[in-house]
Amino acid sequence: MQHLPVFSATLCQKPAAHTVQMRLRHLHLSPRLRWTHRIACVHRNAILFLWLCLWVTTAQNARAAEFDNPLDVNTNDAAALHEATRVLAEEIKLAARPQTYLLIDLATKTVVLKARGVELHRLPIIEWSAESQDKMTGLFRLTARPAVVRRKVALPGTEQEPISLADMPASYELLFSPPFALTVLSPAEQAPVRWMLLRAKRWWRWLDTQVRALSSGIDIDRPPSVELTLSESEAQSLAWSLTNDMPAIIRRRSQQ
Amino acid sequence: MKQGRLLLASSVIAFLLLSLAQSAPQIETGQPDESPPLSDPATLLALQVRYKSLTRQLAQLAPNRPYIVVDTARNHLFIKRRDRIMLDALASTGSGTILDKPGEAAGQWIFDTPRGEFYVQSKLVNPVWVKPDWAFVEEGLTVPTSQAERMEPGVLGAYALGFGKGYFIHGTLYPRLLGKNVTHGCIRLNDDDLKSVYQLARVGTPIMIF
Repeated sequence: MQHLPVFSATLCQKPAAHTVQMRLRHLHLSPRLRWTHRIACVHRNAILFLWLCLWVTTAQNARAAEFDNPLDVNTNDAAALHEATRVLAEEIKLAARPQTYLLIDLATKTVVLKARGVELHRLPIIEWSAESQDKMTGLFRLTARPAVVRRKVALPGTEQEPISLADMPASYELLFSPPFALTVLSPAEQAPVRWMLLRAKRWWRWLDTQVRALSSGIDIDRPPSVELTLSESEAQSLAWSLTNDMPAIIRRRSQQ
Repeated sequence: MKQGRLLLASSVIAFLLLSLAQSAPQIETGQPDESPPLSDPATLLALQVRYKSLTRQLAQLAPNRPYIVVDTARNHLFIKRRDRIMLDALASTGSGTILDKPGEAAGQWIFDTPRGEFYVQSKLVNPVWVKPDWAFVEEGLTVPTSQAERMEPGVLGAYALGFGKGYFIHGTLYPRLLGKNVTHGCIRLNDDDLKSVYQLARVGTPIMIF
């Protein structure tokens, strides 16, 4: 019992655990005291472990809360959930790599530019129409971004107007691989000529397919296509942000 | 005879139009529709579990430390931690202009800020700009042969954060041009914002540029 004050004093000074153990060994403590010390150590380690578990769980919950319902899906709608899980599974593949990608969400009428599952920019869709939605599964890669008229660097000493969003097209067609066409239009009043040309192009393509189908007697497989109407600034913003080979996934409006 | 031909032609046209109408594309539109009622609770439960699991997997892929987002269209640099914006800074990004390489028929420099995901690869204090060839060509000067003639201290500000292929986040001598696309691909910030970015970012911090 005479060693007890030494033990208590040592604990008060909070030395390292191994130092205490060495001293205890050296002082030839009674087995009862050794057990007390061991229980104290286990108790302390258990508290530390529980605290660590709590911290990890809280951090994970905080992260999960941000991604609670990333696709804003009605979790009581089986068809919507089925489509959402398909899209999420595709997105995980894209988010695992260092790249930006597009999520064309027809269900919530938004186009979202993302990287690592994080939303970078969101563009609201005014209206959309789609053909062959059943074929819009998997990943599509943009074959070429919309053409941009680039200016040459001005001669030294001359002022040059910087490039801006206004230099971007507001109505354009994007082609993807495997075949998928995305037509982006601004409301007709914002770019009437371009709007009419793209509409005419789309109908001409459809007419051509029909005539060929009729003449050959074989039903020609039409690639899927989506037509989006965005505001002029959002359409220009999308054209700006696109890069060659950019992957895209499409969330279809669910139907059973 | 003439009437017969007209009749034949009009029947062919009518047939064609009818065929086209029958095989018209099934165009679906963005108008809302009603979802059908759920029939199988077990399927729904399985889907709910899978959705939660996938959501968790996606959450794991998001950066858990602060990351940098650069909007090159609106010329803003953000530092975010999860969904919280820690810094919103006015920036200058690539001008998108082109410059012909002298002596090369098809060679061109394109002054775009690269888009995609990058990482902070280096953090420099009082960086010295090593002028590349285009800086001399642009000014109508001859490209020097000695490295010493390329050194230009003091133009990049107090700090620079490299994110690969010679691109940096750095300061500027022309703060009035912030908010415009005027750079050769680098990202310029004012002194205070640059200091904040330098302090908040570390080597390995993701930079997402769009």
